[in-house]
Amino acid sequence: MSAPAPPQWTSVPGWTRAPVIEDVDPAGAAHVVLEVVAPGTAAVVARWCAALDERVLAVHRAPDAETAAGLLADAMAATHVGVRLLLAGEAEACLVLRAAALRLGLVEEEVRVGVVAVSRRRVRCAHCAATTTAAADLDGTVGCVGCGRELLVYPHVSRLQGTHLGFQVDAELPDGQVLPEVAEEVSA
Amino acid sequence: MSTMTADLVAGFPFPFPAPTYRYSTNVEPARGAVPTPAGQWGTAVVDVDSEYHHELRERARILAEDPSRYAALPHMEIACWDAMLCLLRELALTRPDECSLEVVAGGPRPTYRWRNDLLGIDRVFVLGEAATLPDEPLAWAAAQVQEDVVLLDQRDGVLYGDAGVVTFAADWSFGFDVGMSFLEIHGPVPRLHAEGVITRAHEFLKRLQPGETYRRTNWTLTIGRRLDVSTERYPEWGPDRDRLALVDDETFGRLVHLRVEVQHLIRLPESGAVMFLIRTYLQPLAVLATVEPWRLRAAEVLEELPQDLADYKGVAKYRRRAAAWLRAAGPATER
Amino acid sequence: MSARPLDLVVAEVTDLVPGVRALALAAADGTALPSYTPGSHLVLQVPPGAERPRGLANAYSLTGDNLHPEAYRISVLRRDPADGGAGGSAWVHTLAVGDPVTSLPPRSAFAPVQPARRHLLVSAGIGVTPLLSHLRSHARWGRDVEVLHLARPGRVAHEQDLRALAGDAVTVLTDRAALLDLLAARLRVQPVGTHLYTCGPAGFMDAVVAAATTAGWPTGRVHLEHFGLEALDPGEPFTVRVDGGEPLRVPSGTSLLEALEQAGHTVANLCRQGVCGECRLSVAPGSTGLVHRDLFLSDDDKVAGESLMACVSRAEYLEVSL
Repeated sequence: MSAPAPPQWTSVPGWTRAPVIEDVDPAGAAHVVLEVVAPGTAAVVARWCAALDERVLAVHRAPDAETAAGLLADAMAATHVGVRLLLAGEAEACLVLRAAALRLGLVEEEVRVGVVAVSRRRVRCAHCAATTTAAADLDGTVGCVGCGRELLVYPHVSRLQGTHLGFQVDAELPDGQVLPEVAEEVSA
Repeated sequence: MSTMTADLVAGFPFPFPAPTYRYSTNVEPARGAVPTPAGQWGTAVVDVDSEYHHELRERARILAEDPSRYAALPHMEIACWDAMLCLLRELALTRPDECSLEVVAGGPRPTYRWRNDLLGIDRVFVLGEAATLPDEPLAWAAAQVQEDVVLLDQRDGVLYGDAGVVTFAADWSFGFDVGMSFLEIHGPVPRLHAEGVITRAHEFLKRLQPGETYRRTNWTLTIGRRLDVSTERYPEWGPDRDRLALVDDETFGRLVHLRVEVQHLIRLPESGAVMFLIRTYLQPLAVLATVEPWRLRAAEVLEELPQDLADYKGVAKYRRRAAAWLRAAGPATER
Repeated sequence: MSARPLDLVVAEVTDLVPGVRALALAAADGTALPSYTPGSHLVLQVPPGAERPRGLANAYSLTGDNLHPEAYRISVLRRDPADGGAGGSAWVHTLAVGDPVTSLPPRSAFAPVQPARRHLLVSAGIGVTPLLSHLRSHARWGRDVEVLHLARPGRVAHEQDLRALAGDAVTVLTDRAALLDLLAARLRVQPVGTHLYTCGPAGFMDAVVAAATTAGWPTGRVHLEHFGLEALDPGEPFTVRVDGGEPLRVPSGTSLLEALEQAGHTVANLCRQGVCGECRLSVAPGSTGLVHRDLFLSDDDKVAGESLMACVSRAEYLEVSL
């Protein structure tokens, strides 16, 4: 398992390695809370609302990240600079929503997360472009739902999609192993 | 396409100035001529050689099969026009007889005429008016040069790879990385970060001013004369590293290529974006061995390369055999 | 110090409003000038003079067209020594058509943010200058803008330019309190994705930033013009001795690397910008006042004072070995 690199060098947010509930940003003028429902998210939302009182502009709940992303676009269109976005959910949903927020024009300072679980990851297959969502560790493997290859879950996260890079883990033999002495064409 | 074509050897940017190789922030001002035992390289920012038509066709084929190798986030509109003008100007500097860019009419949105006789293009277009070009500006320009192109937008002290055309990637995926920061793109490379090489490169790029053009070289080994060794196609080219162990020496020397990237770093004036050009050159060991200083130096470097660098460059499985092959390829008197 | 200076000549002089003079500077050889990024400034090399013991480097924002322009246009407010002026702007106000001017190529330190949904520009007095080149670019590319400008009555330099470039989106006020009130209101109704740019006297910019913070704007959306001149300071002249040899003078405006090369020494170098580490020199005891301006040496290296990067760093007195 690779050791986490210092934050500014890595695209893998610390809150996808271990659950983190970030505090509300007191400097925000208005706050939008977006919850992708999972065990524990209700408590996170309650904690944020208690800290914010009347400065909560809206609280949205969604059953999944895709629905939440649609709500997000409408919510941002209805508000102004000064807003802060609070995302509650599992890590894989928060990654997708953070990506949606950045694509809508928010900056990182405007987004905080409350992550309740980190076991599931979204992995984009470099070879067939399918995205597989499953229980998977960083530097672990997952089967691609698109092409069936076993993918290495690389510690490399797309800022704009919220997915991890996945590529075939067994295209090559492990170090030290050799092919049997059978005539195999080199592809080149 | 024969790699014995004379201009390719004469213009090959042999990347080892020293007997050992380490990663460094090896940037230097661009355009300086670098003499080599076989000729020279370095005077062109956009380099055209006898592979021009082949590589452009290869790029078109790869893009048709996988459009994700081209990306331009919406806010990169100005940068893409900026990059296009820069690429066309550099191409005209390299090939002044066949290419020219003229301003036909001035004003806030000037009209230009671009002629590229190498491809039979003669086109009048207006800056900022997409309808006057047959394709998006960055795509149109990238279809006329052999370089891969990445455009980096600078915001709040961070460079983001927000547009580009990369069809000849060496073990990375531009389609995945688009939108990531410079430091994130280089992320999973521990030794480089520990020695500050990437951070210094980032600091250097952020300080580039318009009109400043720098360059650096990078290298690896590729099996076969294969330009596209992207992550996307890894299942095709990855197994070659194992199959290589079974081939005879004659085949080995023919298949294993020294792959050199000449990267140009240019600050574009209007958008302020940094343009990264990556030009790839390939020569098999068998050709390197015909230039004695190259044969000896490449062997030295490959032998001495630290294991973690060899792993990172993906050459660990065969670099010692490559060094031995080069040593053995010398004149019979030298053993 | 690695950029080659431009030889310019004054082509036009216009007094816009009392105290503000506009200059058009053309290339001395008559060629079109390099394009620049909106918000860029020129760094004029002010020669030593009667009240200036050594040369100065003064930054002035470019106001005109940025695409291969015929001339670089700047507008300079005359600052008297009583107001803290060092004499640079006074010198500019002595220039006449035909006079030569040496400048570094345009430097960008205040560029528009490309993904911004809208650009909110807030300026006071001569601070309008960098925002003019922003507005020219926004007009060319059809971007959404809003402009608030504070000027003294009868002294609105560039008012016509503002109106021509941004029309109804421009509000010019002559009362500071009224502008800050309006700003406070406007800061609360900007679409998500808007960025704010401000330029003017330091106190004005402080007030704008404070208003933005109160309105909940994150710092990443608020951009001030910092000309960033420290790295360009030509530096004090100093003396260097190589391997105990004859003292060699390093003039102001010449790098140690350049001085050594001019004296016939060979020094390994590559980037000539303080990044790559090639031109590292060993510093001998006896050296004083090292000024490290590079990005290569670690903080510990710099404190230890045993090495120096020749291409950008300086000293009070230096003994090196090559």
